[in-house]
Order: sequence, then structure tokens, then C-alpha cells
Amino acid sequence: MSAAETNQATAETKPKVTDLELAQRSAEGDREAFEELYHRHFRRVYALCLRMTSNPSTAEDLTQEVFIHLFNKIGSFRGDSAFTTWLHRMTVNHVLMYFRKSSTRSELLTAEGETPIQIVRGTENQAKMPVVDRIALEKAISELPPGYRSVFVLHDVEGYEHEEIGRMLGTSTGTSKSQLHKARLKLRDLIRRQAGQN
Amino acid sequence: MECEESLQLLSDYHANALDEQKRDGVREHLNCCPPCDGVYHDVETIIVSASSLREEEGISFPDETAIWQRIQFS
Repeated sequence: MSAAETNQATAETKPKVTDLELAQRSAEGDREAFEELYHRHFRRVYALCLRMTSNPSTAEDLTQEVFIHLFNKIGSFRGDSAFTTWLHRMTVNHVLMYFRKSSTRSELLTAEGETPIQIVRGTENQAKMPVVDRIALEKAISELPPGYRSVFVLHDVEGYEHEEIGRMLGTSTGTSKSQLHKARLKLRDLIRRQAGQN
Repeated sequence: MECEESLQLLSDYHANALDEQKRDGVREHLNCCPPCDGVYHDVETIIVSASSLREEEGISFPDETAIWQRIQFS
């Protein structure tokens, strides 16, 4: 085997540096290690910021802030959870802080005034919704009130449980469940209106 | 069970989080109320579609390098 082939084989079999190792090296001042972490997780962080805010410019700013915050806090990561989980929670909390600064608390939680039967329109229309394409769903999510959108994105898109959503939003598990249900019905209404089915 | 109560319970029904009595009540109502059954079907469709959004497909990403430059010099 030639030297070039050996190097290539070594590179292919060389184990990837773990996020924990990169985090530890970053905490010791290794900027290249932190840059590697950044490139590994940039898209995930941005995607989450975008889904929660529905605003690309805001999502870009928040993404930048999250990584600056990450750099300042990287020394506190001990590997008790997966790095992606830790960073994900940091991102969610950062977006929620942004909402709290820019909205009143009631906007974030969304008033409980609507009842499910009030949200559901067109129940006389028995035609079932066809498969929802990604674009239609993303558009509908962007039109949800911030409170509904937060709960829906965190639960149905990102997979958080209601207990954790409640903790993050400063509310109860019951409120999180109620908000989620109304968000789903609101989305149904928005999607049907888009499709002219109401 | 009336439509109003059934609609209130649809998400819990989907999550299998209702006691037996309420679960049976919702099921029976959906079996005899096409509009509510239609709503339930739509909610199920939305839940399934939402889980696929976790992937990053379809998102237009900003300039990753440019943002890194701003982070470096902040």
C-alpha cells in the first residue's frame, strides 16, 4: 500500500472526535475545536430558531447569539446528557427569552379564551384533509400566534414532553396540553383556508 | 358524548391519555359523527406531518461562514 493510500485509509477509519471532546477543548481555549462544533450544529440551531420565530432575520440573529452564549458556557457541559440535547435546550430557552423581551407574557401563553369548538370551523365539511405538504404546513405554522406556535413546534415538531414544555414556558403541563390541542385545531383551520376547503 | 366535549378531548384521545370511559365515549362519538371524525383525521394528519419537519429539508439557510465571522469578532 502506498503512503497516500495509507493516509486515506487512516483518515477513513480514524474515529470522529466527539462533541464532548470538542467541548472540553473549546473550554480550554481551542478556537478550532469550537469552530468544528459550530459547523456541526449550525443548521440544527438555525432550523429551530426559524421554526419558533418564523422570521429568517430574527432566526439568524438568535443563532449567532446562541453560539456566543454557547462559547461562554461551554465549560459547564459535563457530558451528563448528549451535547445535542444540551445545545437544543439552550437554543429553545434563548428563543423563549427573546419572546419574553419582545412580547407580553399573555401573548406568549396565548389567552385561553378560544374553545376548541370555536376554533373548528367547517365541521360541516366532511371532506378529510389530504396529505399536508411541507410548504403548506410551514406556512400555517408561521401564521400561528406565538404561544400556539411555541408549544406546537416544541411538542409535535421537536418532540418535547409537556412537563418540560411547561417548565420552559413557565406554565403547567395542563396548559401546555391545552395550548397544543388548540394549536393543532388552529393549524387545521389555516391549512383548510389555504386549500379553499372551508 | 356531544361534539363539544369530543372535540375538547381529541388530542388526549390520540395520545391514549384518557380513562376508559372517556376513551370509549370519544370513540363512539367519532363512529357516529362524520364531522368530528373528519376533524380527528385532520389532526392525525397534522401530527404525522409535523414530525417530519424535524429534518432540515426545505429550509433556506443563511451564510454560515459570515455568521461565524461575526461570532469570532464579537
